[in-house]
Amino acid sequence: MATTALTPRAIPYPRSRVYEWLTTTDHKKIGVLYITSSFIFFLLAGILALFIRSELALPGSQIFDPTSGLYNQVFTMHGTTMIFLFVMPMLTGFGNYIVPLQIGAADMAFPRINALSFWMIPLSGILLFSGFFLGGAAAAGWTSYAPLSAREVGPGQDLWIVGLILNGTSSILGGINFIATIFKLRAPGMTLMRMPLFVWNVLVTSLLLLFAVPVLTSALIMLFIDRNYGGGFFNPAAGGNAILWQHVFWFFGHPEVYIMILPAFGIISEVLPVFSRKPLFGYRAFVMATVAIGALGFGVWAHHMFTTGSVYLPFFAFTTFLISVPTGVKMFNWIATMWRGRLQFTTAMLFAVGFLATFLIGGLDGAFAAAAPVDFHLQDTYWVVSHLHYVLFGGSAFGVFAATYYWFPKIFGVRLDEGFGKIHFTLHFLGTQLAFFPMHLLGLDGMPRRIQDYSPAAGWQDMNVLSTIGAFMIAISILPFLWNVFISLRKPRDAGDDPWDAFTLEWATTSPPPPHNFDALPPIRSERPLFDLKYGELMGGHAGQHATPAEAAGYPTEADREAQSDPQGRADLPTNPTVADVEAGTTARSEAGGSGVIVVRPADSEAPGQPAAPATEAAPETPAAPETPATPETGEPKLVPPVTHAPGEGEVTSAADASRPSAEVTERVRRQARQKGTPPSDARPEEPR
Amino acid sequence: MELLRLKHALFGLPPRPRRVRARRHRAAAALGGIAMSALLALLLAGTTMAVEPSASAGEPSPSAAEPSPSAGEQSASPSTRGSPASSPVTSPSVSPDESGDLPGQVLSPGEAAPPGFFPPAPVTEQGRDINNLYSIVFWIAAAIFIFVEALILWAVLRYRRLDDTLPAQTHGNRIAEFIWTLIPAVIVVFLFVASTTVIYRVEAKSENPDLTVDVYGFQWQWSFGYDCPQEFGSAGGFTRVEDCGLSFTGQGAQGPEMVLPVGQLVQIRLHGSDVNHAFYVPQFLYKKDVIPGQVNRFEVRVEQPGTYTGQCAEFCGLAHASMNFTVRAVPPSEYDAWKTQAEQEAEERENATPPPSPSGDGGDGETGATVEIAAENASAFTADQAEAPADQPFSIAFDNRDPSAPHNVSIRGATPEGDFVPPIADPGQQASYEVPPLAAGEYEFYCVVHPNMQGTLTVR
Ligand code: HEM
Ligand SMILES: [Cu+2]
Ligand SMILES: [Cu+2]
Repeated sequence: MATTALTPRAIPYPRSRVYEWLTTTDHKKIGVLYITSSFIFFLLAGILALFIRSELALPGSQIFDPTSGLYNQVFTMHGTTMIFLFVMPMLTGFGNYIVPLQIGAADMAFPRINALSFWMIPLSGILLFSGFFLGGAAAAGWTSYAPLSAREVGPGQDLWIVGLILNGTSSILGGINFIATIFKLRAPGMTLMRMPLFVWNVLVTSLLLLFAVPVLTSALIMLFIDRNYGGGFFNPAAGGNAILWQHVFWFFGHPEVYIMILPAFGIISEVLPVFSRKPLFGYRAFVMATVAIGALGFGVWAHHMFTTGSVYLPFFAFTTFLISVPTGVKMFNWIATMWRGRLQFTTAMLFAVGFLATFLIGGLDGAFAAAAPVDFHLQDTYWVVSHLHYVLFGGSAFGVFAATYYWFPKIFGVRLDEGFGKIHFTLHFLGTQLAFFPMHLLGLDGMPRRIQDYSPAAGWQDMNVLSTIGAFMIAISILPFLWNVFISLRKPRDAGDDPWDAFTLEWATTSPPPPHNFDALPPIRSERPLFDLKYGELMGGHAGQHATPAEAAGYPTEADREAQSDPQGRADLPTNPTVADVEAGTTARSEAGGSGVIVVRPADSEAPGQPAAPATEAAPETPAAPETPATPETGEPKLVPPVTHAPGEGEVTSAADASRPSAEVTERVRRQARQKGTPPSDARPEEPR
Repeated sequence: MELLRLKHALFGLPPRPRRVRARRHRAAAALGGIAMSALLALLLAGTTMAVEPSASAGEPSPSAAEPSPSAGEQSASPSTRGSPASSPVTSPSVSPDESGDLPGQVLSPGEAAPPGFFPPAPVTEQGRDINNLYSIVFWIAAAIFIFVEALILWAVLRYRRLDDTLPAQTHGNRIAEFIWTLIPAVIVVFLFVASTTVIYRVEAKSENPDLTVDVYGFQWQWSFGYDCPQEFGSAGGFTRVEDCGLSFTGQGAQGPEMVLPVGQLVQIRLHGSDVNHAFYVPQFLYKKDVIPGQVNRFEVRVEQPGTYTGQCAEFCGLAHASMNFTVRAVPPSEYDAWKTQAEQEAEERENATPPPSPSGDGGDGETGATVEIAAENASAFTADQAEAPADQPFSIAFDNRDPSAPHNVSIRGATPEGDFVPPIADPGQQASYEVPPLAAGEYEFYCVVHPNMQGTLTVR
């Protein structure tokens, strides 16, 4: 049975809060540190982007002196920061916080290494940015192509190299930590094929990190030798090779693209099902697609080098086309997840849907770039800048914001305000299209990337003005977000354990979780243990399909439930409803971890699989029986009738229904169970405490 | 069973609850819907807007059908690509503003239309191939885009939460998933085949091109060479474009001009020695990297006479943005005339000014004062201040220690006609420039190849 009934008797001893945060090895605190520091770097790099956009809005030099080379430093630092100090650590931060919770673990496998990995990140950021104050930051682009990067004078490029080696070391350690955690610390019952998709994506990402980042590190070391010790790896005059860098860099760089997008895929795969009230459509396909993307990701690097004249074009065109298939499968499966669901447009869901709509463009762009001859035209133009922002901004950054709105209540115990959230989303979404779509057109027209200036005769001004307006719109959209975080943190922390009525284990504990995460775990028989717990496996959990005989035999018995009927008691063995429960119309509930998870059954529902037909005025609203009756004997997932929530809900003005703390639902159902037999519409919930 | 579930999953609609409760959800759905429709509208409007100008620009002008009389003459040498005479060559008399719909901006026939959803109208045979491939990819992508966005929009509007019932818990459907794996796979294989055919056509190299032009890209300027030595074709064989029969090094942000005969197969060879650059002409729909240590080559057959701007496309440092050049395509007869004249001019120049004396130790001091100036790279002179005596001739001993770029020392406003612009010193060369007497004051000196290299000459 799934039990993690550790109740460590921690002896509290006084420590200053600062000291506590500086020395913490708690994955949750480290996660928060990752998330906040990455967000600060996001703001910094965003400010750099505004400088870039202001410079480019009009022909001529607006901000930067063209002979100073400052513009080149700014876009190099913008790209480098966004990738290595924002997207990667931000996603690692969410991984840090959420992965142990989702697999029912108490912490990461190596908590101290975890802390070490984190502290390397701000240090690498400081090294990278210190270039600005020491005579010029790196200015060779985030790709730092040799021989240019080997010839640039000044300390900026060396600081860049050292900073990225440090950053990469952090990523490698983090990757190892995730792999060990996911393989070794899963709760009993959490088989690989029951892991939430976010965990799967973090796992594949970690493997990619492990294989890709050392390659970058070696390239960086070679570059450092070339620059400082007279090496000639990249200098043809000394017997080196000028495009060796590109091979090595992109062998890291393309998997890097998936490192930045896969965790975002994972986030979307968590958010969409919860707010569609359906399981992820095609779980297996998702897992296979994720693994396929990870594997194929190592075979496409030279599509960044189509114009170098020294790669075999058809091969890399083929692998690049090929990798779009699993990505396409994901897109359709996401839409199928929403299909026929009950979509609730919380801000998290809006960002997830915005992700689908926007990432689609970035993905379709891939088909253009994979067609090598078309890439001859597009390579190194603003079209590429557009494409990479549709993927990184429309993809990763949308994922990050979806995750923020979704997990904020878990992390801080209070939900972000939905009103400000929607303002944020609207501005953010429109700003993204406005900022980045015109870049497609500019690139198609031949505007190269990484230029500080363009000729007024080129006809590029209008689109550049639009793009700049969009960039400022994105910047403005961040203000309601910041304000939202600020006011939300001042509110009472009353989100409850499970504000979204979600499916995965992180919602089975308190918000925020205790240091040891769980007092008790629900049984895990599908990728949605909490859903099973609340709605019963008969309502579509496919435990019947996957449960091992032992587990099947391990169903809670009557005695188990008796044992935990003490309402204050902390149950070791939470419980799922038995058929008998359902037939009796009783409600099984678990106090596990104080999560108040419940199973809702109409008091007077009939046998399992039969349409629930409460004899109340709510009846007309109850959807009719499904076309397919349940077939318990096949063990197939059943198309069961939609479960009515607690009867009487029709009367409750619904605005905040699903977002109401689950404790309240629990309360309602408990009372309803007590008043068994009375018309459910009378069972009105009281307001939450 | 699977099929039934497929039907159920895809077509069966949940019964519509009669009472609408979730007003806020609707508002949110509407918001999402509006945002998404705005996106769709933006893109669709863009498409229609973009299709028109580029369609008109792509249409051959009335005179396009009639081949330029001299187009076929020069193609006696065997060519793998068919006779140039059969290619549609527009006569140069096309009125310049035919495709221009930007007020106040005069566009020559091949010149860039404003940014749209399609690349600029291609002016080369290879560019047409690429453009056709682009169109195929574009329409497929556009169809998928509209289809998928419509699905998302539909899901958002149709399946927004109206009640709190649990929908059917569909875990997947093998047939549906198989279908939407198969269809993308088929599309992708089709696109791959289409691209590969175009790869082979565009990247074909002939043994005997009608003309070979060598390009040398360096920080941050271009040199073009005609009639270059045979050895330039191999990686170690390249020396300097000045060794070619005819060569041009660009000056200022405008860069050099490459003149090409219309209708002939031209092979362009790219050489570099410092960092990577890329030779990019948007209207060729083509670019190729310039990489030190290797010779990259590509072939074009320009079909439309006109002047096309080109630019370095691979970031190469400080003045990357001003690494421009132009390509002027003219009918072959005009090309021949141009070349004869250019050769004559080059010869005259050679005779008029003695080549920069490779005097060993910079200046003999005979003319009086000597100012020493040096350059080590293309970012700046080694010093940005220099002094010279007023009202008497003096000489500049210029030491170009840069291993890859040519430089000189020009003085702004030093002669009645304008700037004093002496010959350019090759990489590693020293030169001595005799400067006419200057009145006292401050002058700006600069490198004519690299406008970013500047300094102040104080004359007193
Ligand atoms: C506020 C929104 C943003 C704006 C307005 C913006 C704008 C730009 C612009 C205009 C460039 C091109 C610079 C040039 O080529 O001269 C650029 C480059 C880049 N951006 Fe952004 N960006 C934004 C957010 C992001 C995000 C979120 C990421 C990554 C997650 C990102 C990653 C990059 C990268 C990698 C480059 C390439 C840098 C290089 O060429 O070396 N940007 N950005
Ligand atoms: Cu360049
Ligand atoms: Cu120069």
